[in-house]
Amino acid sequence: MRLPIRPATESMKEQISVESPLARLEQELRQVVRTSSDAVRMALVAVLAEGHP
Amino acid sequence: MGKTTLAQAVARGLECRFRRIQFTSDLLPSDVIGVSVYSQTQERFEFNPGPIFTNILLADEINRTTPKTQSALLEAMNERQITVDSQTYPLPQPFWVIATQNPAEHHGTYPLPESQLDRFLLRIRMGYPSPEDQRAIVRGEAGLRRLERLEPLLSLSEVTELQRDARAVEVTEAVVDYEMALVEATRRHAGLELGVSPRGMLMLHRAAQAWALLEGRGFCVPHDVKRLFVAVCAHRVLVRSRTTERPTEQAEALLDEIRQGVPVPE
Repeated sequence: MRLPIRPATESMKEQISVESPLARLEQELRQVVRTSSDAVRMALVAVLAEGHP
Repeated sequence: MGKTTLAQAVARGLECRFRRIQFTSDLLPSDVIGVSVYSQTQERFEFNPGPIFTNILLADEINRTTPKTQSALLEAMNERQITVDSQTYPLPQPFWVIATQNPAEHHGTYPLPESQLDRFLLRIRMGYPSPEDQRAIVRGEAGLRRLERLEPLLSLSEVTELQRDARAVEVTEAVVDYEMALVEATRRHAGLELGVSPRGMLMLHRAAQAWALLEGRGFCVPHDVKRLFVAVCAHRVLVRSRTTERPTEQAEALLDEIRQGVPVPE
């Protein structure tokens, strides 16, 4: 496999850093929806991929 | 369990509107999309929007309703607009449907055809909370009481920007080849009557990009695809011989077997 040819853009880095709203949203959702599954992460995948879970 | 809380929590966290529809056998398409009624004062028909006009819609027990009502919802999901009396009304953006199904073996259900299941990005399994989490829910430190304190963390314009970022996540040819190898394997597998569609592969690709972004990367690795393969594809395949009354679990097991058998590029 080729190594990634394009690193995260500055905008991406800002969005995905630990303190980013996206990371905080995932943490908050995990606090509300306590489950052993990865349901919260999957819901956010659906949000970002513009799909219906 | 927890589906409504999850949908409501996402809606609150993103400052979105949220609606829930309980699907029943007597629900009509107009109960979902809305209806035109004649206004005596205006002397014309006026459209009363249905509960589908929201950002996040929880379609509870979608297989309890008739195919006609299911179709009305699923067409709207696909086109992101509805048409009533030759008038087209765009749905709010963003628009997500989170649907739940009763197990197919229950009486009084209308299973969704594969072509319609294909419109759903992935299947989420809620699972049970751990004993510690269960305690937190009872004490009000999680669940609905915690939900009430949840503040919006992202605006809708920020979500749109994140969606653009997700689409810009780099996917190398080697990762695309891996996606194709997995999908092709579902089409050749003796235990499957119907493999993953081209739309299914596109959804796997997009889901992997979103996963990578959530992992803090601007590029996909094969394990993103491997991680999501069963969740994105299991509801899109048709098992040839249903030896159990749990075809979903059977499909997941077959796809897991495929996932383990297809070499991961290094």
